[in-house]
Formats: sequence, structure tokens, C-alpha cells
Amino acid sequence: MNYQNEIEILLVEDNPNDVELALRALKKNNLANNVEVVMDGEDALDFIFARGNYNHRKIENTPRVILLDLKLPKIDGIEVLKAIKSDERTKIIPVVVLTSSKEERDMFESYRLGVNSYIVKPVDFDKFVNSVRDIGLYWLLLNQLPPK
Amino acid sequence: MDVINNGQNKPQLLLIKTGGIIVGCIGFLALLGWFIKFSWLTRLNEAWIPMAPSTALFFLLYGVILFITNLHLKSDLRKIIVRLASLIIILTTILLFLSSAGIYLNIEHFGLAASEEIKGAPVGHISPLTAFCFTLGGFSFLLSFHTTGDKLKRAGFAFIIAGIVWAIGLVLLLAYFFGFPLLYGSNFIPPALSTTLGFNFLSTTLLIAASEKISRFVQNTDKEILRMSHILVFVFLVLVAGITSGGYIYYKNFEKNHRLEVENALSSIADLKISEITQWRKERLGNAAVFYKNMNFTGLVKSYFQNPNDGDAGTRLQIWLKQIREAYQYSRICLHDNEMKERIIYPDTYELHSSSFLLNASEAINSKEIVFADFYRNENNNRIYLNIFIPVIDIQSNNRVLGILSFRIDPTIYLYPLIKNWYTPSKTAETLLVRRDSDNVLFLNDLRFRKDAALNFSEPLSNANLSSVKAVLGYEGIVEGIDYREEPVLAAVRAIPGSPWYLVARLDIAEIYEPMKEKLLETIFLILTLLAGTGTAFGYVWRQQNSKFYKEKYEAAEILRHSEEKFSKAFHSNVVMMAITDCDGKFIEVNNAYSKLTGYSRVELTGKNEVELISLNSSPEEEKLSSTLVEIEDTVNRYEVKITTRDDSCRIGLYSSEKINVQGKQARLTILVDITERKNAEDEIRKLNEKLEQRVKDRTHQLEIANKELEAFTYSVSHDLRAPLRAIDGFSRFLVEDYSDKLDNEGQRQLNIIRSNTQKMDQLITDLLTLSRVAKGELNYSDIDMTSLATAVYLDVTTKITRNKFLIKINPLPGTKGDINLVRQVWSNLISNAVKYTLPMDKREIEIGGNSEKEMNVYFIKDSGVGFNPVYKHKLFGVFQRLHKAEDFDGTGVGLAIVQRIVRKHGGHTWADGIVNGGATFYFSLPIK
Repeated sequence: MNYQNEIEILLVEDNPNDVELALRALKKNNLANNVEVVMDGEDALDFIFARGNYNHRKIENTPRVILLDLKLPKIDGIEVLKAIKSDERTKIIPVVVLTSSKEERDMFESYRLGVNSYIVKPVDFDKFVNSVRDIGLYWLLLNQLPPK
Repeated sequence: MDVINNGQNKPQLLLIKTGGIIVGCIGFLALLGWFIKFSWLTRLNEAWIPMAPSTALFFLLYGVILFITNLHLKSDLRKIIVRLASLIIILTTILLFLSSAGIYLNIEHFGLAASEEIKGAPVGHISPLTAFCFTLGGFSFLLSFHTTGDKLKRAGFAFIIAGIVWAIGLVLLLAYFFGFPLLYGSNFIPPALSTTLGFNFLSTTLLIAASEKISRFVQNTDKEILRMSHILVFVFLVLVAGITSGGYIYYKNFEKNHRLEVENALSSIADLKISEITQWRKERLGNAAVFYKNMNFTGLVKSYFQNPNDGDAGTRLQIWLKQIREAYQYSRICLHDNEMKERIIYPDTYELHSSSFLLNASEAINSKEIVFADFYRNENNNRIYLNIFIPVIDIQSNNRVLGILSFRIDPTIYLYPLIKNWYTPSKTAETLLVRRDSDNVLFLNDLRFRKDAALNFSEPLSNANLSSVKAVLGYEGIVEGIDYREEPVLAAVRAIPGSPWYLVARLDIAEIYEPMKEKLLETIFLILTLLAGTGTAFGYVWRQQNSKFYKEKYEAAEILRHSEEKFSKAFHSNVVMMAITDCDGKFIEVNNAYSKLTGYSRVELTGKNEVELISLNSSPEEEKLSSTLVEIEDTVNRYEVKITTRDDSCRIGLYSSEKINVQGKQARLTILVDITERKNAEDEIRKLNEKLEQRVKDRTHQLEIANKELEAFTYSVSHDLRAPLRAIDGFSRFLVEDYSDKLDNEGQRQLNIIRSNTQKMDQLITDLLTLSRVAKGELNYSDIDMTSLATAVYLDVTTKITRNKFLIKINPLPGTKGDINLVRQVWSNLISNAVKYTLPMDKREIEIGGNSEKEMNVYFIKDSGVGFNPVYKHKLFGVFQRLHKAEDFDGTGVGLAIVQRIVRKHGGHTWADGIVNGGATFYFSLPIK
């Protein structure tokens, strides 16, 4: 795999509508090139830890940022977050929770587990696009990660 | 009889018995002494009178009756005792009269030889005083023996009479003790020493007997009184001993001083007489010396003898000698020549010379020295003379003896009166002049109590007790001995220097002690007076203490009676069940409440034990009531017990019990409170409480489930309701973006309507979630500075552009305590509302203020906005209630509901005033605490 094909954004989202909205928002901002979408928590973990369907991957090839919904089938977002942040190999991957929930409980729990950002999806699509753009710009361009 | 069978005071009876034995023994020993003629047993001292055989017999009788009285007597033996005592009284009374009258019956001797006299008193007869004491003793005995029933007075009299005998005995004992029996020396028979001792024991025993009777009647065997009495008696006895020994010492001291005085007097008299006699002898020898070897006298004698007719020499000699005789009271002066022929005699009467005269004269001629011839008796006239012989010596003619001159001295003229003379009047005082005459002592002067003693009477030297013998044997000073009458005397003895004579100045001891008798009486009287005084004082103190004690006792009894009355009332009329039981739980007394509740009458209960009715409620071991509750513990407090009543129903009671003393016996006072009703009510309450608790538990459980459901619900709302909205909005947008060429303006407008409604829906969801969060969350209290909070919120909810349109006034607000996030929400909603509804107005003013009222801080926000119709102000705070059209003002209708809910949750209130187009004021209050 060349550099071009390296996954920069892992989008974990079960709602296909929201996936579409997010991808469209990313596309609008030219950030949709290296996006991998997984629809549940199990797939997300398989991808990140390079196992199951994703065992051909190298675990070292970590995405630049993970956009994580909290309400997921099989393994929910909080669990996924916990797994990522409690493994030394994946701990440093920036994780941005992107969810409809404004519940304090969810926010507290996410931050406690070491989430890097917590974004509530706005209902207004224009605002949603803005939010996705800001996330992409920030994490992919502005933010510096340590060298692999 | 009852006296004897009554409880007897063992120690006293033992004392009486012992006293009886001692008295009997005294009598018996005296009788024995008489029979075996061992007189010490009867008199103890040879100088004193013996106990009469009759007295001894009476003592023996007394001993017998005293010894047997304390046995449990049959009535005939009692009769014998009474008769014996009566007999003693009769006999001694008779003897008292006879003895007082001086009539002594020989029957008293019981045929024993007793004819002596001691100082004038006949031996072997009862003394009147002894008889008197026996009579008194008999009365005392009979009185105390007959003391029965309430005849306390008899015992009292018995005590007093015994006391009199005791006092007499004491006086007699004191007299013997002081060494000088009072009653000796007259024809009155004195009681013997053994009799005196007998009376001491007899009277003491009778006193004990009487006091034992008294103590039996005086019911107070109260220890306090008894101890007090014992202390008083002890102190009294100590005082008696003190007073008696004080008297004794005083008397002895007086005696000693008196004797010393007498001795001094005797010594002085002796010394004086000796000096006078010595002086007299010197003078006599001086007279002789004038003529001895006198040249003139010798010359005259020589010329007279050579020429008897030489009238001058003869005359001169005669005158000289006559003058000498008259001047010195010589009874006769003779001048003999050396052939013993009388030449001059003066007085000129013829007298035969005694045999010793010529002997002494020739001795003087031979020795040529003056010879002093001692007392001698002239056989011719039977008179006693002394004589001085002076040889007339012619010095010039080789000391030739010319003749002899003799001076005869008649002692009756000067010497005897000098010796006889005593300087104070005395009945027995006497001075003796004695000289040793081979193995005898010869009395030289006539004696006071013996006629013709001079030169006639002599005593052998072997009689060493004689004071005159002591003098002759060389004693000097004060000696005690006997005189020629064998009377004990005190004497001062001296040798007279330059002579063979000894002087004895003596006085009868009896005379010396004459004043002592008076002193002794005085002392004894003083002692008795002191004793009587002390006794009276002690009696008074005893009485006082006694009466004080009884007064206190009476008062205590009064108080006790009152308290018992009170107790009785409190006991019987008490609504609480009360009972007195013995220590085993048997009922002694119960009150009305007790019998009423148990259904048993008081009489029925009295036979029962409380264990039959009462058992411990909580403990399964019901049998243990008596042991655990009653026997062991002094006080039992509030045990819950079951009471089984007569009709077998069961009541619950609280059982308290305490040990008390009922008439000297241990008992228990038990109090039972019937708590059946209370207990039932308690049970009821407990059951209800249990039910209630169960219900609360159920409800809580349900509530918990509901809460969980609600949580899940709100979570879903929050999360899942938004997703479709976002999809609607997003895809509407896609339509506009992707198919704008196919949509006309109307289509675009309609899609925008769809999108704006999704926004409203989103706001609505957010508000409802906030509302539900307020309802369910816990309050997190902290101090809140309301002024700065309101200011911050105002700045938060408005933009600068908006603010420029407003005139805002935020007054200082009282601080409060509350959940700061929620209170911020309140201010946020209220300020947002005020801004929202005032914005359309021309005049835009908002005032925020507040003040502290009683228990609440009240805050308000007043605006000049569109206001509202006050008719609907009750609807203001309802959920989804709006008083304005949606197209005029945005809003979900939830904001004020949230405000109200938050304020209520803090314990405060919300309200509002307003007029349509006249502004509105919203108030909320928060508790100060």
C-alpha cells in the first residue's frame, strides 16, 4: 500500500444516512479521499487492530483520526473508545466522538476515557457540513502527530 | 412466774449467781473460822473485830437464796426463798433493836467461845449496823424478787435500797481502807472487815438483780441507749475510783503532815528539857566548885574546927552556908569533919543520913574530888534526893582533907516539875527520866499513869519495844514503841550529856490520831458528797439523754406513722397495681387495682404466690420469674410480664419490684402497670409500619424502574430522534443542491419550510430534555453571587448589537445557595424571554433586582416588553403554554416551565405580573437557608 492509499479518516457510523451526510460534507471539503467507513463497533475494532476482515492491514498504519459515533450495533462507541485508549499501540490515535447525544453522561464518560474531541452533530445540514469541515481541517492539516 | 420464764438477761444472771456464791463463801469461811478457831478467817487482822457467827450465818443464807433465784423455780421453791428472806428480815430487825439497846444474847455465839472485847466492843455479836444492812438487803431482795408485770416501781425501790446498803458498805470499806476503822473505840460494835466485804458483794449483787429486773421492763433494748448507759456507768465508775483515790491521797498526806508536826513537837520538847536539865546540873556543880579548894573557906573551916568556940569563924561559916542554901534551894547543907562528925547543919534539924550518904562522903574524902550522888532514896524519910559532896582540902598542909561539905537536892523542888511540865495540854503526853540499872531501865521520876514509880519501877532491857529501853540502849531521835502501859506511843529519846540519864518525851499514838478520826470522817463525807453529786449529775444526764432519745423516738414514730398513713393511702387508692409480697413471692397485701385487674379478691390473692399469676413475657423460660426477678436482685425494674387473670385471659404488664422492710422482715414491694392497650396499639403501629415500609419499597422499586425507563427514553430522544431530523434536513439540502435545476421557487420554498421545521423540532427536543433533566437530577448546592451571575447570563444570551438597543439596570442582588447550573438556566430563560419580548418595542428597558424577605430572597426581572394578559397568568408556567403566536415570537413554550421547575426544586416560588403591551415582571423566590 502506498502512501496515497493510507487511510486517513476512519468513520464509524451505523446510520447510512448519516454516513452519506458525513461523506458528502467531507467531500465538499475535499477530505473524502482516504476515508474508511465501518458500520459497527466490531468492524471498527477489527480495522484498528488489523484483525478479522482487516487482518491484511498492519496495525502500525493507524488512521490520522477516528470519527466515532456512540450508538453502534454489537459494540457501542464507548467500548470502542475504551479499547483504543487502553492499548498502547492505538492509544495515540486521535478519536473524535461525533454523535447526536448531548447527554452529559456520554460526554463525561468519553472524556474520562481519553477522547480527543466531542462533537454534537447539528441537525442543520449546513452547520453539520461546517462541523465536519472544521474537524477534517483541524485533525488532518492543522494538528501535528508524532512520527510513526 | 412469768418473770422467771421471761427471756432472761444471761450475763446479769450469771453475775447474780457469782455474787451469791461469793457472799455465801464469805459467810461460810467465817463460820469455819469460828469452828476451827482459825481467827484470821473471821477478822482478817488481829487488831480488828471478827465477824459474828450470826452475821456469818446470814451471809450464808443470802448466798443460798441469791444462788438459786435465777433457776427456773417451781412455786414451792419460790415460797421457800420468800420465807427465808422474810426470816432474815425479821431476825435481823430483832437483833438490830437488841444490839442497839446493848442487849447481847449468847445464843448468837452458837455455843462457840467468844468473850473478848475489842476496844470496848463485845466480840461475837452482830453489829447494829450489820443487822440494819441485812434488813435492808432482805427488803431489796424481796422487792426485786416479787417484781412482776408492770410493777416497775418495786424494782426501782429494790435498786434504791440496795444502793443504800452499797453506800454503807463503801463507807465501811473506805474506813478500813484508810487504816482507821471509824466505829472502833466505843461500846458500839463495829462491823468486821469481812462483814464489810460481804456487804460490798451483797449490795452489788442486789443492785445487779434489781437492775436486771428494770432492764427487762424497760423495753428499749435500744442499742444507742444501752451504749450511752454503759458509757455513763463506765465514766461514773472511773470518777468513783478517781474521787476515792483522791480522797485517800489527801487523807494520807494530811496524816503524814500531822505526824511530822507531832514528831517535831516531841523533839523540840525533848531538846528543851535536856538543855534545861543540863543547865541545872552545871549550876549545881558550879556551886560546888566555889567551895572546892577555896582558901578562904578552907581557912574558916580550919580555924572553926581547931577552935570551935571561935565565934567569928563559926558565925561567918554559918552565914555563908545559909545564904548558899537559900539562894540555890538546897534542901540541906551539912559540914562534916573528916571523921564524919556533923559540925554545921543547915537547917538545924536532926536527920538520919541514908546509907548511901556515908558511902558517897567517904568516896569524896578519899578521892579528894567533888562527888555528884545520883537519885537515891532516903530510907529514913522515904524521900528521893540527890547530893553533892565537896571535900574540904587544906592545900597549905599537904592537901589534907579537913572535912566534907554536902549539898542535898530535893528533886521535887525544881527537877521533877521541870520534867513533868508539858507545854501544851495533852491527855497522854509525858516526859520520863530513866537510867540504866544493870539489865534494867530504872524510872527516875514519878509517872503520869503509875504511882510511886520513881526509883521503884524498872523494866527489863529485854523488853525492846519499850521506848525507854530504846533510849537507854542508845537510840536518839523519834521512835515508835510501847510504853509501860503497853500503849503504842511515839517518843523522842535522848541521852542527857554529862549524866547517866536518858530523857523520853512521849505521846500516845491514839492521841496523835485523835484529830485524824475527825479528818477521816470529814474526808469520807467529802468523798460521799462528791460521789452523790457525781451520781446525781450522771443520773440527770442519763435522764436527759433518755428523754431526748425518747422524744426523738416519739417524733420519729410520729413521722413514721404519718408516712405509713400516706403510704397506705398511696398504696390502696393507686390506679397502678401494687402488691407487697414476701421474699418468695407470696402475697402479703395487694391494692384494689391489683385485685380488680387480676379478678381475684384480696383475700384470694393473699394465699397465692405471684408466680402463679405473673410470668416473664419475653423469656421462654417462664418458670424463672421467681429466681431471676425476686430472689436475686434487690431492685427489679420494668420487666415486661404476662399476667394471667382469673378468667384465664392474658394481660401484659410492666413489672417493677424493690426489696423493702416490713416490720423487720424482708419483703418486696411490687408495682405492676397494665400496658396491654398500649402494647396492642404498639403492635398495630408496628404492623402498619411494616406494611408501609413494604409499600415504600415496592414503590421505590417501581420508581427506580420508571426512572431507568425514563432515562432510556430520554437517551433515545436525545440520540435517535435527532438522526431522522438531520436526515430530513440534510437530504432536503441535497435536493436543493443536486436538483436545483428541476425545482422551481415554490419547491425550494417548501423544502426550506421542511428544513425550518426540523430546526424547531430539534429545539423542542433540546428543551424537553432539559426539563426532564431538571426533574430527575440531584441539586448540587453552593454559594451563588446572584448579581454577577445575572450579569454574566445577560452578556451570554445577548449580542453586542442587541445590548445596544437596551437600557439594562442590574441592581445588587442578595446572594443565595443553590445549584449554580440550574440557577443560571433560570436567569438565562428569564433574561432571554425579556429580551425576546421587549425587542419589538420602541422603549426597551430591563430591570433586574431583588431583596431579602423573611425566609426568602425574592428576585425579579422587569421589562417594558409586550407583556401579557393577566387573565392567563396562571398558564404562563405550564409546559408548551404560549400566550403569543408562534409567528410573532419563536419559542417552544417550555422555558418558563423549566424556570418554575428549577425554582420549585429549590423550595421557592415563581409568579408574574403583566399588562398587554405594558411590560411584564417575572418573580422568583429562593429560600435563604
